[in-house]
Amino acid sequence: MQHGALSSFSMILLFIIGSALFLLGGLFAAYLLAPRKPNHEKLSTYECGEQPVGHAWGQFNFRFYTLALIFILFEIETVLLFPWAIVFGQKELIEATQGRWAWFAFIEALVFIGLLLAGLLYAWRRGFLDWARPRPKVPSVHSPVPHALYENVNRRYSPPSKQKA
Amino acid sequence: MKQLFSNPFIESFAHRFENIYQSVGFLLPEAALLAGIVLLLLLAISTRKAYGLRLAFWAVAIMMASLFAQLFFLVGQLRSLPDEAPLYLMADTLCVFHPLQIQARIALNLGALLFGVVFLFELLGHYRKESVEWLFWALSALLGLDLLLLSAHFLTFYMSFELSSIATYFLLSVGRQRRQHEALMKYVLFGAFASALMLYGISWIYGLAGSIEFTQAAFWQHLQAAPSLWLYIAWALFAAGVFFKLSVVPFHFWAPDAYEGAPAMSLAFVSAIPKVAILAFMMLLNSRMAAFAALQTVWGQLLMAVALASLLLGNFIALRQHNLKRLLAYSTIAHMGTLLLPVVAAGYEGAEEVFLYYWAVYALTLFVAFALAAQQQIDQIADLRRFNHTTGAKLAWGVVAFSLAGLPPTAGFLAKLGVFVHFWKMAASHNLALLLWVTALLSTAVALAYYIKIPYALFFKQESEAGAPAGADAALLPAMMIALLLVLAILWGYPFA
Repeated sequence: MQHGALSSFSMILLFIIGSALFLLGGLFAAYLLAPRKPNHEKLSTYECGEQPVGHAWGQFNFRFYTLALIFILFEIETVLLFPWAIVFGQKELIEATQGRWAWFAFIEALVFIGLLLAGLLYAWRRGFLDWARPRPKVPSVHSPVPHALYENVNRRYSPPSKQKA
Repeated sequence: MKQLFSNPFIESFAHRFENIYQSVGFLLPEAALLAGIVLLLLLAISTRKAYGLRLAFWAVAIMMASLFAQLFFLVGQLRSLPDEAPLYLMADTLCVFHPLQIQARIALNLGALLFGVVFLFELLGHYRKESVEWLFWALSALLGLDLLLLSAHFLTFYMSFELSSIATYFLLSVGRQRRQHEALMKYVLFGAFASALMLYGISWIYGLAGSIEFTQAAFWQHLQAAPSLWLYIAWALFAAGVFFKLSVVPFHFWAPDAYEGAPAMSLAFVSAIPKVAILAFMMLLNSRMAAFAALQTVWGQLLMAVALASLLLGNFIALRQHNLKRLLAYSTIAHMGTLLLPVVAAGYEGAEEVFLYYWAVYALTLFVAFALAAQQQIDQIADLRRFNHTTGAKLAWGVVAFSLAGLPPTAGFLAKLGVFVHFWKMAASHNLALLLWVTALLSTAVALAYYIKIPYALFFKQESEAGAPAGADAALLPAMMIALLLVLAILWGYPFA
């Protein structure tokens, strides 16, 4: 079993080589077959229209970080729950353990999800999920000059064509 | 559904599952801790107010309850331990039931309980805002260390190691003073680097042994077949993470800076509690490789080199320190060097008692020191002169200095004596060990020169009677009692056979 575990890495190596070949093959085929008529739009970084402005080292909002962390948490949950769901439902395993396996695995998953939920609840209650909504600050000027005076001035000095409209 | 597994697997699965199912009960101590952690989390979101006296009271109550429950289960496990040879019982990738392991877990628990008591005192006196968070992270660190001792597989070891590391980062960040950030950043980055090295080392071990289930004899047999140069590389990389936690020499850079900036109570926790788990884990690892002489030579040489460097560097750099917390940091480095002696000589009888006794005395002394330093916000050793100490506080400082130096009227002396007497068993027949033994002895003499600065500043260079009076602090009373205990311990006499 010891070296069986080690040799299962050869499968991973095969996958790495296979996926590299698949990718390179596709690119090479496109290189041979595809027509080349570049224009400005096609050569832009994102063809969907997003303009890459500034450089990659620019600062961005700190809140992305908290959200990303919480996101990763649930990503990991999914990664665990897929194989769990596959193994959990195996009839042979349940029969081999007189049904105890099903309850064991079920309760285990409940505990796991419960712990994650408690964490999410904490983040939610503490307000880590609230994106800071920008509150537009309307500038207010306390001027001694009455507003009607400005309007009079505007009316007087604006071009006559606009005044009619 | 399609049958995923072969029939032989299903048969072995039934057996394996039975094993896991039977041993779930042995995880009750951890369940108690986990329940405490979740309850603290729920408590923190039960009210809109983030802080408050009532909240803090409930938090301490939850912490104490879960720690007492854990202690109850642990003592139950220790009592049901069979008398014969150490028994390993497996619950999948966890392993329970080895005397040293349970003793170390009890030591962790008692250490945390001490901090719970201090917080209880603190509630009676003034109340700090960060207590609830602090308790949460302290319990999380404890759970990580507890699982670390239970692990039977390097991946479970790594996971629990990281749990305790991350909790430790947050423990040191509580308080949020400006000066803290630099030290904390150093600690976090250095910690991440060390644990990455450790993970790399684990992958080397996996490559050499074909498995990382280190409770299996086959793992050690395969590992022994590897060339010794590769073994050195693998173990050294693995040990990087462990040495970082212990703050021994090649990985000690974070300690003085982190000590200088961090709040005293967090420091007392971080510098004392994790070490017993890590060192006990190393002792268990050492006893597992006892049958494989070639492996033990590599591992032993690595540990001895690190212990030697820590003893020399820690003690000699401490001579030049004027800042009290930095002095304690270098003293920790030196003490960890000494604590590695029983770990190296784990194969000789009595190592466990010597190790646990030394750790307990060291942890208690450090606790007293930090409690006293926190009370008066003392930074420099010279600051000691400026305050108008009560006689009790002066005597407690004296006990701290004597106990750390290993001088006779304190338990520190017994602990040091025990370690040296025990290590002689190995040093008598081993050249490198003999060198280490002599270095440890001589560096203890060097250490006197800097520890003595503390009582000297207090008793002989007191500046004036008009110094600022020392304020009362919650931790002061427990600190004084422990200082008294450290002196009274001598009455029981030499505790080792």
